[in-house]
Amino acid sequence: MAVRRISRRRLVLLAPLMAVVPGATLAAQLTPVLRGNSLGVVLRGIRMPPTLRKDLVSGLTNKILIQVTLLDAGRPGPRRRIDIEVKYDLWEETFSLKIAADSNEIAARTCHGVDEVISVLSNLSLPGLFTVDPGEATRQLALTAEVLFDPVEKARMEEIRKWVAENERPPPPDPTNLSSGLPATASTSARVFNRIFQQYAAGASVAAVWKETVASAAFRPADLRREP
Amino acid sequence: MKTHSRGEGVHKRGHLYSRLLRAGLVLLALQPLLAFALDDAPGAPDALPIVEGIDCVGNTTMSCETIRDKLGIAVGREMDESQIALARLRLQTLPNIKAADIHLIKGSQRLRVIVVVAVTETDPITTAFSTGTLAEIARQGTRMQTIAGRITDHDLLGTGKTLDLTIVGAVPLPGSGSGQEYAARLQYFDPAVFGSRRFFFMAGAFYSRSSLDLPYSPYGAFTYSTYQQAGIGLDFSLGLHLDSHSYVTLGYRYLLNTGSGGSEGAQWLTSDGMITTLSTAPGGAFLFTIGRNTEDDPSFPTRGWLLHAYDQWHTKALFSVPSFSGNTAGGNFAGILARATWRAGPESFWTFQARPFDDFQTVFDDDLGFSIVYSHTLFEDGTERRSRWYVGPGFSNIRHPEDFPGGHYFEVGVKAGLRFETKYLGTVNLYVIAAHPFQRGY
Repeated sequence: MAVRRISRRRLVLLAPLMAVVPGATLAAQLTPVLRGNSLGVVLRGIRMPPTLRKDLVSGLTNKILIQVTLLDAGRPGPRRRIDIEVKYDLWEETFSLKIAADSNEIAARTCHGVDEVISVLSNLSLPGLFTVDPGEATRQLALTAEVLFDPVEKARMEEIRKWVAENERPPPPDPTNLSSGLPATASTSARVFNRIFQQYAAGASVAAVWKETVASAAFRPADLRREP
Repeated sequence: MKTHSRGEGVHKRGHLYSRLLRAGLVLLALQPLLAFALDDAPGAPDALPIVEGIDCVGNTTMSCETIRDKLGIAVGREMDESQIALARLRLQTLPNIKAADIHLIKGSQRLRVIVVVAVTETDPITTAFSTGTLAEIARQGTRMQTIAGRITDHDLLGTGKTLDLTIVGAVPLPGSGSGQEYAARLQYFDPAVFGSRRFFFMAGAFYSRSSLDLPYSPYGAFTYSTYQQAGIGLDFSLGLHLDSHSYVTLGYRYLLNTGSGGSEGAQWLTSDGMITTLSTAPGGAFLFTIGRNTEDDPSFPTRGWLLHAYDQWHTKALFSVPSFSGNTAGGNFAGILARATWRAGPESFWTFQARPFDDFQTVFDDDLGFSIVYSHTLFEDGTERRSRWYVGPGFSNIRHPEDFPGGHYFEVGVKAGLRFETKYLGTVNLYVIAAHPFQRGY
C-alpha cells in the first residue's frame, strides 16, 4: 500500500517526460511494512536537492533527517527520528553511510559511488519503527515522513541570528521607500537564511532549505502483508 | 634431542623480560610519532582532519581575508563540521553574497584538508520598477497613471556606500484633466560614517516638476487649480543607530522653488520623490526622524514592524509648533508611518499600515492612509525569485489646512497588486487603487 500509487499506464505516459526533464522524479511513496508486531516504512522516490551530487563529494558530512509520524485515526501519535549521515572519504573515494533511529545506529554501509548512495536514498527501508499491539490491528492508521536535507536545528539558527544582530545593523528605512509604490532595491542575499528562519517562525523545531513531506494512505495493520 | 635445564629457562625468561622492557621504553619514546601515524592510519574512526588552509573561489569584490574573518574557522586546528555549517549560513546573511558553498579538498597528507569557500556575489547594481493606476470611483477627474523606476549601486566604487537614483512620473488618464507630475531623487547613503557602524549618513538631491490642471478634489482644491511649479532641493542627514533596530536622524534641507504666481516666501507642495510636503521656498528646513524597524525585508516582509516619525522645521519658523495637519504653523509639520507584518499562513501574510497625517497624499503613494492588506506567495519555491499578490481595503483621512482649499474629506478604497522579482527589471510592483471620496468639509 502506498500513496500516490501510479498506474503502469500512467508510468508509460510519464516515461518520455522523465527522459527529457533532468531530475524529474515521480512522486515519493511511503509504504508501511509490518514484520511481526513491528511497523516500519519503505520510502521510495524521494525528491532530492539538485546540488546533492556535488554536496555528496564535498568531503563534509551530508545529513538527512527523516521524521516519521504515526497517525492514529488522523491524530498524530508517536514520532521516530531517523538520522542519515553520508560522508565522503577524500582519500579512499568511498562513502560511509550510517542510519540511526532515535540516535541508535540501525544500519551502516560503504558505497563506492554517488549513484550507489542515491540508489540507497531513493529506496530506503526503515523497519521496526513502531510497535503495533495485536489488539490494534484493525485501527485506521497512517504514516507521514518529513524529509529534511541538511537540517538546521533551532539552537543553531538562534546562534546565527545573534551573530547577525551583533555584526550587521540594518539600515533605517529609506525615506523614498516609505509608503511608496516603488519597491526597495534590496540585495538578493540572505534568502537561504530567511527561508530557514521562516520555517522557525511558522513553528518548526528543525528546518531546512530542501524538505519534503510524504504521507501514506490510511491502512489497517491487519490488512498489511506480514513480511518475514 | 635438545633439552633445557631449569636454570637455563629462568635465564631465558629474564632475557625476555629485559627485551620487553627495552621494547616498551622504545615505544614510549616513539609514542608521539606512533600516535601521529596511528591517527593517520586509514580507518581511524574518530580522527578529525586538521584545516591546512582556506581558499576562496568566486569572490571578485570581497577579499578572501574578509571571507576568512566571517568564517570563524582557524587554520591549523581540527575541523569542526558544525562550525562549517554555521559559517556557511553566516556567509549567506552577508548583503553582498548571494550563495555560499563550502567543500574540502585533500591537503598535503591524509587527514589534512583545505577548506574551499565558493561564493556567488550579488550584483551590486539592482533595479526596481512600478506602475499603478489610481482611480477615484466617484470623481473620474482624478484617474492617474504612475510609473516609477530606480537603480541602485549598493557598493559604490567598491566602497560599500550606496548610490540610488529614483525617477517617478504621474500622468492623468484620458478624460482626467491634463498635466503631469515628475520627480527625481539622487541619494547617497554611507552605512558606516568614519568606519563606525553606529553612525550613518544620507545626502540627496531632488527635482520635482508639476504641471496640473485637475478641476476635481483634491487637485481642484488647490489655490491654483491650474498651476505649474518646479522645485529643486538638497538635503543631508546624519543618523545614529540606537540599537540593532532603532535609529534617529538629524538633517537639513534647502529648497529652491520656482513656479507661476509664486512669490518670495510662498509655500509650495514639493515632492522629494515620494513624500509630498508643503514647504516655504526658497528656504531651509531642519529634518528630524526617529524610528524602529524590525522588518525582515523591505519589499517582501514576513514579520516585523516599523515605526517612523518625521518632523520638518522651517528655519524661518523655528519657534512655531509643528502641525499634523499642514502648513498652519508656517510649514512645520510632523508625520508618522506605522507598519506591521505578521504571518497568516505558511505562505501568506497580513500587513497593517497607517499613515494618519498624510495631508498631501502624493500620487506616487501606493497606499491609503490606513490599510490592512492580505498577501500571498505566488510561487512557493522559495529558492527562486520571490513574488506575491496582495489585496486589501483602506481609508484615508485628508485634512487640508484652512488656507488651502479642499476641505476635509475621507476616501474609502481598496488596493490590489502584484509584486515580484524579475531578471531585468528587478523588483516590480503593479497595483491599482480605487477609492471613493466622501466630502466632510470644515
